Amino acid sequence: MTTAKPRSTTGSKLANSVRRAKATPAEETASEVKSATKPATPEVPESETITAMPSNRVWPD
Amino acid sequence: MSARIFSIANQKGGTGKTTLSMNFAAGLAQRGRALLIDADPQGSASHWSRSSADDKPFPVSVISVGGQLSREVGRFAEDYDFIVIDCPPTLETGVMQSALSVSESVLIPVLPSPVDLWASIRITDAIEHARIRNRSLKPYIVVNQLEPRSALSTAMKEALDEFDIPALQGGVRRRAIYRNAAIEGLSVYCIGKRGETAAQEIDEIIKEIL
Repeated sequence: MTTAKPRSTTGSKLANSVRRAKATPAEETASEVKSATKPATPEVPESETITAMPSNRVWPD
Repeated sequence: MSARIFSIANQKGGTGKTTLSMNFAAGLAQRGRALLIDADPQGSASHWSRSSADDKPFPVSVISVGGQLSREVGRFAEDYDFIVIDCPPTLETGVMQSALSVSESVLIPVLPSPVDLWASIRITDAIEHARIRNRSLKPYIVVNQLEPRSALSTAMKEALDEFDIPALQGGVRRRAIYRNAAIEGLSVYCIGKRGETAAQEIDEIIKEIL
């Protein structure tokens, strides 16, 4: 009787990663990449908008 | 008799398509008249063949083809026994699909790395699509830059079982002689004793394919 050769740890991990990649539709991968590359642009409330201070401003002690 | 046509393709760049194309074509040239079609806009195969010395030219005719690939292949099919197409690393232009539609086999070089494996999975879609027009297309994975003693190269054999494409028994080992052959504009078949072992492994691939 022959027994199946046990998989190496690296082999199993690599095979699992290929299985996962196969299960991921190409469109999904593309949209994930697109959303990941879109720059984060949080809206800043108008009241928090920072304005430059005039250079001759004297700061109080 | 019409030429037997082989494509070397992978939409992932840097997997060794041109190195395999050049040496595979040179091996075929020992069995008949061979033509290499450089369908990659980067023109690496053309550069390679032009790097040879005038008195020792590359042993295979290399032509560069941009568009109308299938028409160009048809134009040369009666003059050669073998045509090898070095495909561009993209599915966007349609050139790879044209090559697959006229080929009897496609060799897909894959490096023994997870990133390359993941990126190469998508070529199965292109092959399925090509089979609508070319039902007899036979795809084969060729593991490139193998290092037999490394754990990753051993692991590749297990991971390739997950692919829907069979892998050839023979692979291409990581050898400096392939790069040296490119510098000299030659193939591993005509670089003397230094190229003998590499030429043997290319021969093994050819025997499996023919």
